[in-house]
Amino acid sequence: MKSILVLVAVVGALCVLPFLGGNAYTLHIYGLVGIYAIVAMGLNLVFGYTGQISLGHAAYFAVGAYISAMTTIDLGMPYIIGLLAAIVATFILGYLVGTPSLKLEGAYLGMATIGFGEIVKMTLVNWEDVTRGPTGISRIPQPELFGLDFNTPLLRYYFVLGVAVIAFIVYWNLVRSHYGTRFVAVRDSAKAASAMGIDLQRTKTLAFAISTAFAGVGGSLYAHVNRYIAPDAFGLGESINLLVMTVIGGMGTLVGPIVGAAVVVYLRESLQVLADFNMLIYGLLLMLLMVFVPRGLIGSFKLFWQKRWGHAESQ
Amino acid sequence: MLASLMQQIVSGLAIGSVYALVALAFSLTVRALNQINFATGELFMLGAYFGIAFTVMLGLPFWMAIPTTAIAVSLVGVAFEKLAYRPIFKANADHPARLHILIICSTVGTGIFLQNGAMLVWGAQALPFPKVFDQTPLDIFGVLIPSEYLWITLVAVLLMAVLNFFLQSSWTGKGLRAAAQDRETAALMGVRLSAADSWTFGLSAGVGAVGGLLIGAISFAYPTMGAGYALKGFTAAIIGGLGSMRGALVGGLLLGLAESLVIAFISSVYKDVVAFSLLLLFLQFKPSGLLMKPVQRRV
Repeated sequence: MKSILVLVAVVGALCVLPFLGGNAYTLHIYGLVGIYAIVAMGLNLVFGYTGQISLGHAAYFAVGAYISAMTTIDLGMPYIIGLLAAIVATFILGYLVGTPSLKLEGAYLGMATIGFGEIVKMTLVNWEDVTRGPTGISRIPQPELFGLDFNTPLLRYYFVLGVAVIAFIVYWNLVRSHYGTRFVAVRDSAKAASAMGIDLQRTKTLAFAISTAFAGVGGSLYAHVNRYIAPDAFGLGESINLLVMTVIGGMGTLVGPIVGAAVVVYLRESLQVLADFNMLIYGLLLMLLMVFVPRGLIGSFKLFWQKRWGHAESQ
Repeated sequence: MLASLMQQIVSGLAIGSVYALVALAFSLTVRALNQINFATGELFMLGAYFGIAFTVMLGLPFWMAIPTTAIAVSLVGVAFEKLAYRPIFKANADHPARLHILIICSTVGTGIFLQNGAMLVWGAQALPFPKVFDQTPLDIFGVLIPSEYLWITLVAVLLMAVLNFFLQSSWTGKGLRAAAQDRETAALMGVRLSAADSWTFGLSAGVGAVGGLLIGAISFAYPTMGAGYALKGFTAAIIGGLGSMRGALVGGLLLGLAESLVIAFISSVYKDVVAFSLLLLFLQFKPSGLLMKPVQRRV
């Protein structure tokens, strides 16, 4: 009950956020945070809760974006169909790719996911008849639902917020369900989990496929809010960014990925002023955060809270 | 036709021997620490730039630039281990899943740092290397072969032989191999693990850097040159067997050869597809590679 009240309060605060001096640019940034938060939540299911590695999630983000854009433009379908198509396509793709890949462990799994990510990117670049090649797809229609057009930055922000809240509720319930318990069991001791009758392969693949569907939702929102997509934006660098969001926020913590998405988007925007030094500082910060805040911001905060007050905050 | 095929094969083997060096750089850290260093490509890139710095700015002859570059980048590797690896390893040693992910992020961060550092120091454009190899091609049974390819293969194979000798015969090398096999027992036998980890990162960086130096010497140095070679080198390591020295050599040469045959018979467009397909095929069907015994699966 308490946590539901907190959720309502936070969502309420996010609804008023645009009126505290927001312009079109800040609204766009807030929207990006929401989109990346959705993808990072999904990734947290794989990294944080199931203990598996994916360095290719930008591929599913891309597939979601392209499927959604092409469904609305080339097939002339309404936006909601594009979004659903993106979810279904990424879920199925994640399941198909995850089934053989998740037999691998650690570094091998990481490299296999990188390989698949690069193949998706190459396909986007070279399959020009369908994907329009390196130039990408522009003039993607704005999101619209049942005749309501989200045609201003403010409305688009509320749209992203709404989808993000739904995604969060799904993710939250999933973590608390018996599926979530199985994920954690696989992470903490594969041997014990297997002895308890948990099918390791199916559990890992399910977590992976659900997380790719989250990436698909994020991709669909990205395509229609940004209104332009190109293969360049979906390479290994983007996969790493998504991973970094999850880790900086705190792997295996409920709200870590959301905090991480906000921190990374904010960092990348504010470091722009450093011009040439921008990426240099980003790399250095990334390294330093891993050294000094290995549990992520939320994880460290929880640890501090436990030490200070002697008990754990629930979730 | 035959002559051009021969040329393709020789150049394929030369590039393949550079892949072998990168594969070895990956294998060293994987074997000793079970961690992938995602900045391997950037240390490779540093090798090319340091090579230019030593030959052009300090005026060293090329044969001197090879060991100096190797040592200089090794020192970068040691610093890297002390700053970006050891503190994370110490704090998270009891948490292997988290350690893996933290090391990925911190080595990726270091790679971004090195790449952009190089861009600030040397600029984003490709920097030409002074011509160090004799430009007149060798005439072998009527087939003209650029001598630089033979030099590259020779240097790479020689370096691997030296490294093999070092690991097999010297006290330090034996200590490193012991630590890679069983850290606890090695520590009890008097191997200083922290020194062994520094050595591992240093050797890995130095070997990769020589690869970068050799590629730089036949083309250019540029800040983003590492990524492609890192992926090819990793593929080579997987083909031969990640963690195996002979595997790195065999995998590198096979990959180089496969690429050159694809260029000769199909098209250079599909060159990169070869590496990706081989990577995924091997990971899926034979992740232990050609020369390593399959890992026993637990559970």
